[in-house]
Amino acid sequence: MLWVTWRQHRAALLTGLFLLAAVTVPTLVSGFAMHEEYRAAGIAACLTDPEARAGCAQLLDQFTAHYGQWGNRMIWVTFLPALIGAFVGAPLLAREFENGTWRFAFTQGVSRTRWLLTQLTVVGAAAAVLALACSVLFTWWRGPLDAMSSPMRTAAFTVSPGLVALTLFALALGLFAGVLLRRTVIAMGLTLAVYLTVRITLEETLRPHYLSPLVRTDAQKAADALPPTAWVVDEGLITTAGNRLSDGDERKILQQVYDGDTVREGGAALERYLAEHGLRHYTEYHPADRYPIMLIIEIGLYLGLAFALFAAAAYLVRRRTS
Amino acid sequence: MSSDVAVQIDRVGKRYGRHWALRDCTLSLPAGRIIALVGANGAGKTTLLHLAIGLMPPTEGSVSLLGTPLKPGRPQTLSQVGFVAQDHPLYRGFTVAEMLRYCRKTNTRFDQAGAEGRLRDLGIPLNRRTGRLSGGQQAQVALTLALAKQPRLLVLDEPVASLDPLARREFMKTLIAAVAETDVTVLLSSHVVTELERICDHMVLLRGGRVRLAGDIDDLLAGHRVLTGPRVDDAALDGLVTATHGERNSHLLVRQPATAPTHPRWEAHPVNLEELVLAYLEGQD
Amino acid sequence: MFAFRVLDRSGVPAYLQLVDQVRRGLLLGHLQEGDQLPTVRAVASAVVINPNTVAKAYRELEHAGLAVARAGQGTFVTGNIEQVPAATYARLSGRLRQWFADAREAGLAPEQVRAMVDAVMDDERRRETA
Repeated sequence: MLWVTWRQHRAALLTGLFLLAAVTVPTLVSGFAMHEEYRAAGIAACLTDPEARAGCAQLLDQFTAHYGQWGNRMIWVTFLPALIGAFVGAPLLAREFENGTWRFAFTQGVSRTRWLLTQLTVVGAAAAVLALACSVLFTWWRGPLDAMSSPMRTAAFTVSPGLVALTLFALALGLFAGVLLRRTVIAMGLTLAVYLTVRITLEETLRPHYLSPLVRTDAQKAADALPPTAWVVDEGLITTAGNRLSDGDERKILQQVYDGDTVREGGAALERYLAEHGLRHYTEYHPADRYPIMLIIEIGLYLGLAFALFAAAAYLVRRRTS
Repeated sequence: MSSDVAVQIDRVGKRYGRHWALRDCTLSLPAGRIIALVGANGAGKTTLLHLAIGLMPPTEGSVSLLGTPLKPGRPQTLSQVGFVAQDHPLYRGFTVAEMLRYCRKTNTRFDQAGAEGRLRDLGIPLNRRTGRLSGGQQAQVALTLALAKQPRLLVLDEPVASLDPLARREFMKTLIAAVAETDVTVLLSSHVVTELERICDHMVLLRGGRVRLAGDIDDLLAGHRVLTGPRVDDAALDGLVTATHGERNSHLLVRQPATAPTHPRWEAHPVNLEELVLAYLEGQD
Repeated sequence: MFAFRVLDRSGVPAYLQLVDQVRRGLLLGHLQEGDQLPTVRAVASAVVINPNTVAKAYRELEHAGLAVARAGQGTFVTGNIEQVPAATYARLSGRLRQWFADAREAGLAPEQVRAMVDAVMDDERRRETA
C-alpha cells in the first residue's frame, strides 16, 4: 500500500519539492542580505531605545520601506495550503470516483479504511513537512521585520508553524469535497472557495477575539505609547461613565469641532473638546507576548477542523456504494 | 461440474435513499459454472454484482460466499474474489507492470508469472501506460489482474459492452481458457444474449430489482415453449409468460415442459434463449 | 487434431452441434477409431464456448458409444458408426449433388426440397415396414 500511495502521488510530491527549491534560493539570498543590514545598521538598539542615537526613526522607516514590501509579498504562501488542498486533496478521492478506479482499488485485498489511512498518512505527512519547511524558511526571513511590528497582525502569523495546521485543514477539506462531489474540477473549486472563506473569516473576525484584548484609556491617543509590536484591535472614545461612543457619534464630534476644516488647528482643538466634555481615548490591544498563545489557539482550531473533515471523509468512503 | 453453491443470496434487498434497487432476492449460484446475469439497464444487475463481491453491504438479508457469510469490505473476502468492473477501470498513468505491482502489493495471493505470461501471449507490452492501450487491451489487462488473484469467484460487470466484435471474442477466449483450467465460478452481466448462449450455462434474469428467472440454461429452454394457434384474447393459461397476437392467430410463450399435453388446435415449438430472455424482460409486474 | 465449430443462431444447441460434428466426421472418415479428441479446455477456448458444454457433448458421445474417456489420457474415438465407404460416398454424393442442381433449376425452394426428401424417406420407410 505504501508503494501504491507513493506511485499515485509522486508527481505531486516532486512538483512540491521543486517549487520549494525554487523559492528557497532567492529567499535565502535576500534573507541573508536583510539580516546583515539589520545587524550592521544597529536597528535592534533603535528598537529598544528610540533615542539611542540620532536618525533612529528615519533608519526604521527606511528599513521597513525597503523590506516591508518584500515581506508583504510573501503573503503568497497563504496559497500553499490552498494549492495542496485543491491539487492534492480534492483529486485524491474525486479522481477515483470519477474514473471508476475506486471499484478497482476497493476490491483488492486491502480494506478501504487501511487504504484511506495509508493515503492520508503519507500525503498528510508529506504536505506537513513541505509546509513546515516553508514556515521555517519564511519565519527566519521575517525575523527582523517581526521585531519591528506586531507578528499577530502581519504575515508572520501566516508563515508561522500554523501553516502546517492550515495545510492539513486544506488537505482534509479537499479530500472531503472530493468524496462528497466525486468530480475533480468541482471539488477543486469548492475547496478553494471554502478555504478562502474560512481563512478570511478566521483571520478578520475570530483572530482578534481568541483572547479578550487588553484595554487602556488615556487622555491622549494611546497608540503612540504602546510598543510597536503590540497589536491594536480597536480604538475609540469613551465617556467618564464608561460608555463607548459609536462611530456615528464620533463623526458628529469631529464635524462639530472642525466644521469640515480639519487642517488648520491640527489635533489640539479636538483634544480640547474632549477634555471639556469628559471624553477619553480607549485602545484595545494584544501585547506581543500573547503571540504564542494566540498561535496555539489558531493551530488548535485548524487541526480540529482538519480532523473533523478527515473523519467525515473516511465515513463517506466507507459508506460509498455506487 | 460441481453441485456446490458458490454464492448464496438470501432475501437480499438494497436500498439507495428511498429507492429499492434490489428487493427480496433469493438465489443459489452453483459453483464451477459461468453464470449470466441478464436484465435491462437499472434492473439492479450492478447492485447484485457489487453485493456478491462484498463491495457494499445489503440493506436487508444476507450473502454468503463459498459457505461462509460474506463480510463486506474485509480483505479476506476481497482477496477471494476477482472483479472486473464496468469499463474495466485502470490507473491511466500506470504502466501495465505497475498495475501488476499494485495488485501484487495489495493481495495475499498473486500469480505474477501467470499474469506476465498471459499478457505476453496477448502481445500487451508491460512497459506501456494503460491509458495508451486499446479498449480491448485494457479489458484484457483488467481480466488478467482479476485472474492473477486466483479467485474462487470471478465477477465481471458488462465486460465486453464497450468492445468491438474481435476484441469481444478475444476477451471471451482468455476468460474461457482461464476458467477451463480452474474451478472458478464466473458471474457476468451482459446485454449480448448470443454471447451469453455460448459462454454461460446458468442464467439469472432481473427485472425491476427482482429475480424473474434463474436456472441452468438447458433446463430453462426445456421448460418453456411457444404455442401457436387461433387467436385467444384472455388466455388464462398456466405458466403464460407473454402472448403476441395477430388478427386471427396468437403465439403464447409458456412455462411448461415439452412433454406437457397440448390442445390439438395448438402447435408447440421450442424456444431459443433470445426469445426467452426478451419475453421475461418485457413481462408485466 | 479434430477441429470443431459452433454456430450461434443455428437453433441447434451447441453441445448437439459438437456431437453431430463428431458423428459426421466418423461417417465421412475425417475421424477414425482410436483418434484422440482435443481436450475439453482446448475445444472450449478454441471455439469460445462454455467448457461444461463441451464436457456435456463428450458425455453424450460416450453415452452413444462413439467415444471413450481414458483416465489421464483423454477422450478417444471408438468407431462404432458404419463408415460410408469412400467409393460409395463419391458415387452417391455425386448423384445427389446432380439431383439438387436439378431441383434448383426446377425452381424448388429449400423447404420444398426438404419436404420432398422427407416425403420420399417416409414413403421408403413405410414400404420397408409394410
